[in-house]
Amino acid sequence: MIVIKFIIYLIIFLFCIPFIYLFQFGISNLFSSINNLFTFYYFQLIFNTIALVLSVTFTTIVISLFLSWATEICKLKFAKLWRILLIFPLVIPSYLAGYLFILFYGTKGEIYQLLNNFGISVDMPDVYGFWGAWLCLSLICFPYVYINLSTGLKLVDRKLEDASRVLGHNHFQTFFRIIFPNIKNSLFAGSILVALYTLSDFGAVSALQFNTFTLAIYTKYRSFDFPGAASSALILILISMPIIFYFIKMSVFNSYKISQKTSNFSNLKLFDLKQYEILVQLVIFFIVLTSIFIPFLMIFNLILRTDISFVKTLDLIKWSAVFNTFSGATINSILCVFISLLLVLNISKKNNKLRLVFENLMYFGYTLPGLVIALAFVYFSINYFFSIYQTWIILISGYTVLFLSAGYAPVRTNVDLIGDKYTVVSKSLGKSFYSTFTNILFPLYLPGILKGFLNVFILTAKELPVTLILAPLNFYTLSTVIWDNLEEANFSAAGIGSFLLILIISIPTYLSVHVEDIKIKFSKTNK
Amino acid sequence: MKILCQIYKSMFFATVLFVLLISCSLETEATGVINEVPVEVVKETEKSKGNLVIYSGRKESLIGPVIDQFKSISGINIEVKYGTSTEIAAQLILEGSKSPADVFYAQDPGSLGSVIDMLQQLSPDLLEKIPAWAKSDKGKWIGISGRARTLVYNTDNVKASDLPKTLNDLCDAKWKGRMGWAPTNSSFQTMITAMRKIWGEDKTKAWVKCMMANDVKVYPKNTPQVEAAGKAEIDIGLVNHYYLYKFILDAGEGDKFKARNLHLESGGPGSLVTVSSIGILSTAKNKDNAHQFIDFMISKLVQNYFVNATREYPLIEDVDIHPLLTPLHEITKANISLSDLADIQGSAKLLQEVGALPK
Repeated sequence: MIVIKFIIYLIIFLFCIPFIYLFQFGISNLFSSINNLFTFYYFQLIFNTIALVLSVTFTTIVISLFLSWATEICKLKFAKLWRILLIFPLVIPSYLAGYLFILFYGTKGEIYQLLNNFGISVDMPDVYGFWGAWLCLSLICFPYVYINLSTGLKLVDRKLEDASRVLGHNHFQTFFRIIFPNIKNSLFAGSILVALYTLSDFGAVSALQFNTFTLAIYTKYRSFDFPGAASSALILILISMPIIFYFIKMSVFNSYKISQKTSNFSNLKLFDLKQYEILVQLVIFFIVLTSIFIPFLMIFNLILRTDISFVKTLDLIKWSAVFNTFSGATINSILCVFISLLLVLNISKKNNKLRLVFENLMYFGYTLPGLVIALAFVYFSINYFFSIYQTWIILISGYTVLFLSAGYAPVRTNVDLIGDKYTVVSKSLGKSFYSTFTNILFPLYLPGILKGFLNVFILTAKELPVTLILAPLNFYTLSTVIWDNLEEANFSAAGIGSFLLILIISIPTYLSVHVEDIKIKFSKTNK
Repeated sequence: MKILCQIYKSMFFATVLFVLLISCSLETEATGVINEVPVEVVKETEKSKGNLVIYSGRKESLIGPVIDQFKSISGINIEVKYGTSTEIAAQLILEGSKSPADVFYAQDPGSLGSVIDMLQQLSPDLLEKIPAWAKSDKGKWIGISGRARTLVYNTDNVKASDLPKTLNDLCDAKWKGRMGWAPTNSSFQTMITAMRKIWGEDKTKAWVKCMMANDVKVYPKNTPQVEAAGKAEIDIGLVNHYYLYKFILDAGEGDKFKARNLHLESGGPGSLVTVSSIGILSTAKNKDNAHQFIDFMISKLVQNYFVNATREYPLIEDVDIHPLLTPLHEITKANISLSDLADIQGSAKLLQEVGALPK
């Protein structure tokens, strides 16, 4: 028990490092430049940031509600294929997504060229600015909500649905009145990830030139204004505070209301769409087309864009990057899921205050731009822990602080949904906690664990700023390879790097969907 | 437990697949050769020649082959950290005297200028090989390759007679909505620094304001600007000279790519020539190796590599420039010392004040 306590406090300490750094460098500057805060310019910057966060979050919620309803509740052909494909927009790093977005939708982009070939000359709308950033981020972010929602839907007690139908509600009334309140938690868990991702995103907003706080922080670092950057990061935290408080309050509040019974998958009755199935399929196809097929096509377009022979282009790819990307992402996601389970099981029910403190801290880690976290860790380890500087240890710690919340959210939702009735029963039957966990709880927590693992895996595999700054010397990941070649305009090599990244991420993506299906089959045959 | 079995099974297959992938890739790595520079490699039999830690603001895809070559010639164990020049400078400042770095190689003199107190004096035999305009006046860094600020213009939409002669010509209303720039880019900010030195703060501010009033489009960096000029998304962009050849030569688009460079006749900040530059940290643990590395970087071999791989200007004599480039002596260079270009923060401040950069 002491060991667990020690680990928990160690993790909390890790999350405090960025704050210590920011306060040390930023607080004096924040007060000396407080007059700047009340200018029209700052107002506009804050307004831009908040507008983008709200619009992207809202859009992703709408898209994901539809998609999860269609793929989990309805009887749909290709449902498994869609379920796998719909995770893939996450694979594309945002700096690459922004670039591909411009290549395709830009004023003289592929659409324009295509229409031009047919003799139609259209003025494409300007992709730079709010609309571009909104659409691009919505398209790469919606799977966060979708993954959480579909996990939530799997866990809802479907007998409730039957009861509701018997009592005279139609399918949609049932969905919004009975099912929806039960998956609200998953919705919150997913949408906070989107909101905070948008808040901390640099790649897409910089490619599409929409002025947000994160862009301002980076610009300051790049002109060596460190105190200015630190104080801007503090303001970013202030902006994110209400969002985080709201989400956490809502999810804690909700966890008392939700049904504590769970589906055992045996009574899966799928909703028959009848003649409307075509329509639903078309909408899904359109979403898959814009968010997956088009970016992937553009990646192949990049690969073909070269005069150098293919073999020479392959030389530009550092192959150790494949290994590093895979192992870094695997280690970090296992670690994050493990920590999440440890925290949820140990501090969830007993110590609500500690849990609140912790959840807040964790989401702040996700809000801060990677650059800020990376420099904070540089500062910390240079001054106090030089032996871990530029090693795997500090790199993984940085990753954990950035992405723990992405692994924590689905795990917690799942644990909350299961409740502690099984533990109580198992305990009363004289089983030890260990055997309860491995035999009963782990299989029940598996959907959440898998989704948490997948979230963190994808985020880590495509991470750039922290990798660049904290990684050991001579260390490459696919993400750094893509960035490197994109900056140097080696389009072909950047395309191949992206392709490899997609391949790597598709392994855990496929596995997690596959394992879930096995689980469903398994529980069906067990009945 | 059946589920766990299934997971383990699938994980096992994934691992097997992965190991196969890696083993294939390792073979490919062994065959990697330096691009475009056929050289006989003199392999030394002695192994340990010490270490060298390089922080590089230039990308691995560009100087990786050079470093590999140096490794096999010298037998030194080299470790490199890649990143953005300014972010590495920020990291160096945080690291202070504990920095593991021996050498800092940056895109621009400004990044080295911002850590100049952490650099040591370079030895005369390195300094004398580089012309006076391309090195630090205190002898703390030297240039490795030259790059010129140019205008890139679309050849369909801009007639030769219409071409601007000075940067001020761009304030003309006929360019309204037809231009692009990248104010967050460090080469652009360096040009602004030169402008402040040559024109003074007020005139610089006025120019930035008139460009903004002329609806100049903002790009994140140089490459998308050149690409946009080729597609006639903009007609004029403010960039470094070498990005163009990425499209004409490497992407194989040749004459189909409708953009070309223009070196302003009048000189001034618009035709600034800067250098990628290198320096040794005063806290370096491997100073001899660092010296040897810099000497290698200004050897004929590597200078030739830069000419062919990046189409930058070589900085030592006896190395010819790329045939597509305008020779340096034909460019009216801006009359300014590169050591005066360190104040990037001041330029960023100016751009912030007029609203060209986020505050």
